[in-house]
Amino acid sequence: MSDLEITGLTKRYGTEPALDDVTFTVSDGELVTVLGHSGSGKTTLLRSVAGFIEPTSGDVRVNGNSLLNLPINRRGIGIVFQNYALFPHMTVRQNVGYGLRVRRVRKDELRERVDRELERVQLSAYADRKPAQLSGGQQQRVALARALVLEPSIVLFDEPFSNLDAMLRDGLRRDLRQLQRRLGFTALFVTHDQREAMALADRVAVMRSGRLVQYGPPQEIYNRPSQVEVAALLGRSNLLRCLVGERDATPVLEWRGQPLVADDPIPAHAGEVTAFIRPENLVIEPPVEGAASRPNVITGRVVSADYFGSASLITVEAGNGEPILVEARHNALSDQDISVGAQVGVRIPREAIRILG
Amino acid sequence: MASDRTLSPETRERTTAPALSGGERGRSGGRRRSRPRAWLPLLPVTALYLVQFVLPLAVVAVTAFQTSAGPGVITSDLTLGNFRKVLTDPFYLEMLGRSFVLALGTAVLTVLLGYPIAWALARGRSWMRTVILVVVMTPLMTSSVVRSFGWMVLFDPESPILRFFGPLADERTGLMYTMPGLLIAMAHVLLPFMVLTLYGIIDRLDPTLEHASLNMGAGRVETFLRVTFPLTLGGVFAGMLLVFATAISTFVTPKLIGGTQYRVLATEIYEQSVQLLNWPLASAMALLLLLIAALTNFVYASLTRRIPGGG
Repeated sequence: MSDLEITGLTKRYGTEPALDDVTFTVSDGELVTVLGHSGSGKTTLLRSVAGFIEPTSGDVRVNGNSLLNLPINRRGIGIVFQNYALFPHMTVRQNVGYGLRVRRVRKDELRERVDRELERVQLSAYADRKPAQLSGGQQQRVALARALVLEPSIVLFDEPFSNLDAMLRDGLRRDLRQLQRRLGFTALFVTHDQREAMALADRVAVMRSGRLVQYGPPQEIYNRPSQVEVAALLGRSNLLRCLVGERDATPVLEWRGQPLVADDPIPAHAGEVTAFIRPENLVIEPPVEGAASRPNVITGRVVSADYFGSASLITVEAGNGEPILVEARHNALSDQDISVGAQVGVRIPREAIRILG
Repeated sequence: MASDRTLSPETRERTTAPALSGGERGRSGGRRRSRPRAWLPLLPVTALYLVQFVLPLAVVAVTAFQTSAGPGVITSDLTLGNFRKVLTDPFYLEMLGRSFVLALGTAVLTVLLGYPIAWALARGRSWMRTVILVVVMTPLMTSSVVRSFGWMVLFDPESPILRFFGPLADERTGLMYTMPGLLIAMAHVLLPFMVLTLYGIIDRLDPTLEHASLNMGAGRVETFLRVTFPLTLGGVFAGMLLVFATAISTFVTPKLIGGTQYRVLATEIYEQSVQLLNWPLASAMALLLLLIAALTNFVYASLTRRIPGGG
């Protein structure tokens, strides 16, 4: 049972906070990804938990016990480093057995546990090679085995897949998720790749400028971002600056003269808000005469159409001169003309609009 | 067993691909375009080198096999007598042994003193690095005569620092004309070479390796012994060989600090050639010194190629 509890964690370099009052809890057996750009504080967070950085204030607790007074080598937290940090002068077997040897584990037990771990990551045949003789993916698996052989209850991952090509990454990601579920360790996984963050996570912690800006399940983060920057971090989106007007005593949205109706509640006296719409929630329709005044239907001209096989990403220039992004799945497009220059209608379903402050 | 395997087949399949392409890259990288006129700019320096170095060296090489018939007189009878004398006469053997011990001792001492300095230089805060760099580099810009004179003052029996070296010092002369004194002065003179060599290696060592070791439960000392030191061993060897080769041919410091008691190869060559005018014997010793330097160089080159982190 290992809950990882981070409370008010702050790290300042001079006056500049690299980590600013971050609080969240990773429950036992949960995999939480920390998503952010470089400089968002996600690496500082991970290094503070590991003990490589001493936070200015705040606490890191495991099952209620603070880690901060424990030296690095007594925290019992596994880490898979971004560059793997394999010892170049040791073989794969020696690398994986390092932590056990340091713990003075008996020779036969050490051998048995190392063998089992190598078997698990499919590297038994490479046991006597040096890290430099392995491919990137194999090195990554050695790093994973080296962390897991110590049976840590918490494992930290510092962008472990970032140096691998995309195809390999997908496979390793699924393998890791499966392994984590089966072994049941609690995991904190730092990444700047939003696809990776969402695909792996039970919950995603989004970081920006040293702060935790949103924490929740991937679906929630993707569909209900708490702020414009979170929306932008998680894939393509339309962020439409709208004026808040009033009609029949209820607030309504107006996007450059185009009325929009949304299910999401609109703050009454906000003046200006941002309407957030994912491109895949928009629908391309045949153009309709005089649509300009109809709420949620935009008429415009296709200015670019990028074909991706399963879908196309279409940029439509609306009548008011603003671009709008539509991701259209191909079975839904059947016989529509979406070639560049074509006039199309874009319907915005009212439930697809989220209002951001 | 199969249920315990966690990697999907597609993952396994793909992991082999980079290894193959890596080999491919290695081969094409080895190809080099020939540059037919690259040697042209080297012509002046080559000419100078020929006149200044190769020619005199050839003269020395020939002289070493000739016979001395009194001071400044050489007969052209070819002989191995000069080498026989140096390698069998107890006086010269002792001198050779002393040269070796001094050079080796200096190398060991500079490692012990230089490693912590190089470490601080590579891993310290930036102001500390600047201070250390200045302190380490300044001796290099000072003449070794001046540096040795400095030690002569400090090694005087009346000198306050002698209290720290009490048991090592001589009653009459202090640390002057003693092996410990000679070692200290030599180590000081050659320390920059060791520090700079080690610094290059330590600086290139990825600190996350040490983090990884600590993270897996090793203490600082164990991390140093199992990870840091083995990975910088190449630098330690390289530095030792560099210091050894320089120390064994050093002249000024042994001359000034060692005096007449502590004759070494370089001072003996000087004495034989300039004062006793026994040029054939001096030449034989010079060739021997050259051979030692060449051997050290050879070992240096082959070691730095093989040891991780030492290249």
